[in-house]
Amino acid sequence: MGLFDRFRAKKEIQKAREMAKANPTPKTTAYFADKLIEFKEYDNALAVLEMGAKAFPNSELLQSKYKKLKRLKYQNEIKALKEQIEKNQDRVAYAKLADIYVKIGEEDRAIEICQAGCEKFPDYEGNHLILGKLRWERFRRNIQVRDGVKAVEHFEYVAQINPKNYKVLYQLARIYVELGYPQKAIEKLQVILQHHPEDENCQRLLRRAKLLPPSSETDLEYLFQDLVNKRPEVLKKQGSAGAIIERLLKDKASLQKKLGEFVKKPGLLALAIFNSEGELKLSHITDPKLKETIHTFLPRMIKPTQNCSLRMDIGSLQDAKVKGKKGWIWIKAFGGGVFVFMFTSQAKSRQVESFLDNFFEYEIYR
Amino acid sequence: MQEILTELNKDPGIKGSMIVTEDGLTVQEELGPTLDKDTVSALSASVILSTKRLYEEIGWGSFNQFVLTASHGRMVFYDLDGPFLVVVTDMNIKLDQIFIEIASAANKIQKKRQIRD
Repeated sequence: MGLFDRFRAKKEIQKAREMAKANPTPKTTAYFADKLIEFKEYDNALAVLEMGAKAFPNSELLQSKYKKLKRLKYQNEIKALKEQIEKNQDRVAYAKLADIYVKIGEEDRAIEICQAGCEKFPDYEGNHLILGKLRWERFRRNIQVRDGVKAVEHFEYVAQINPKNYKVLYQLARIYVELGYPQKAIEKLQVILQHHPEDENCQRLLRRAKLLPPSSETDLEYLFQDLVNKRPEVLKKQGSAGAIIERLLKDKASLQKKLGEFVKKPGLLALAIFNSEGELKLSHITDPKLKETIHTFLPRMIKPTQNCSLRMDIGSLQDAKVKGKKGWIWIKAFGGGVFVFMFTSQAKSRQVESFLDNFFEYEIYR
Repeated sequence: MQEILTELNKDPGIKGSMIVTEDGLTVQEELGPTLDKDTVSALSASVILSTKRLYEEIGWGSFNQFVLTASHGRMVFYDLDGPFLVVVTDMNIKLDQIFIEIASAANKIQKKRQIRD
């Protein structure tokens, strides 16, 4: 890069940085990162995207850019590990590769890799351990019984292979306490205390477990379902995900202003916003005759859609597009809630999609 | 029909596919080891039925396709004039590309059904 090019790069990067600082939205942040990439400042771009992805967890634009750049960073390692798996049947390579996929944010890939590793090398604890952790994190995030059950199964498998694995035994004990299954927790803690009798954390958890009444139920699925039913508020630790939707719904005037131009667009039949509990909180329906119908049948469609993605083990709902001859529906999970847009076939889908992209990546944060 | 589903599943990224009625009855399935037939058919039926009902109630008739994107995968519901073709994919798949394959499979299935009828 010549002197003039360096000067130009510095100037353009500075301009993009100022834009992102003055008006922090996913779009301006992505623009800043793009400028850094353009002038080959990959590490800085990655840092910007990492911050952006954390600040705007609902932005598809930033999440996909961040994932792409991270993938680029690890591509050589991924290639080498894949080759290792193919050639040498290296049992550790599965865990290493899965770990990279976790870093990249491709959790489903990581799970697939570990599952393949578990099938090939069932006696190697590393893959089960990663699977257990991934499932457990997913359970905390999505509150799906299946993830919780699978997590315990993998941790138990590790404990079976390696009965002295402190971390796994302790993790299992904590889970069993949380599930209200103290006899199992005590069993695990006693194993730890045989080897580490002075361990204060263990002793504390053991005292807590002994205070709980023994559970007559031993079925994990039942116990997890019971936990989900009893303590949804504790489990719903989804960071600030719900905060955005609640904030938007509190200031309806501002939201209506942001959507101002959009609601005038030809073809829009309805716009509806559901909160994190799946309750319809705001709606704008252009045909008053259909108001009641939409208020009745739209929530009945949203619930199964959300439920389907979670129970199918494909994670939480991001978006959905439904197409029919007379109209289409666009559903977008955002900030802990769900936005639904219904259009008749009069609407021009490209225009609408471009507006919605801009709305969710820029306008909504302003 | 089994062959069509098997062929469709060869596309990288497709985890499994099945043909299901809106009542949740499985017509044909090729789901692979990670997907449970009963779960997929029950959840699919629930989505299809509730969406169909909404479309009918607002006078839109029916819907042809439904693409559900979740954080770790996708589900595509494709109308086969009665039953639906349900395809489960992972996230590392280009939707436009896979849609051509799904539409082509749906077309073949419909032709087979017409011959049979």
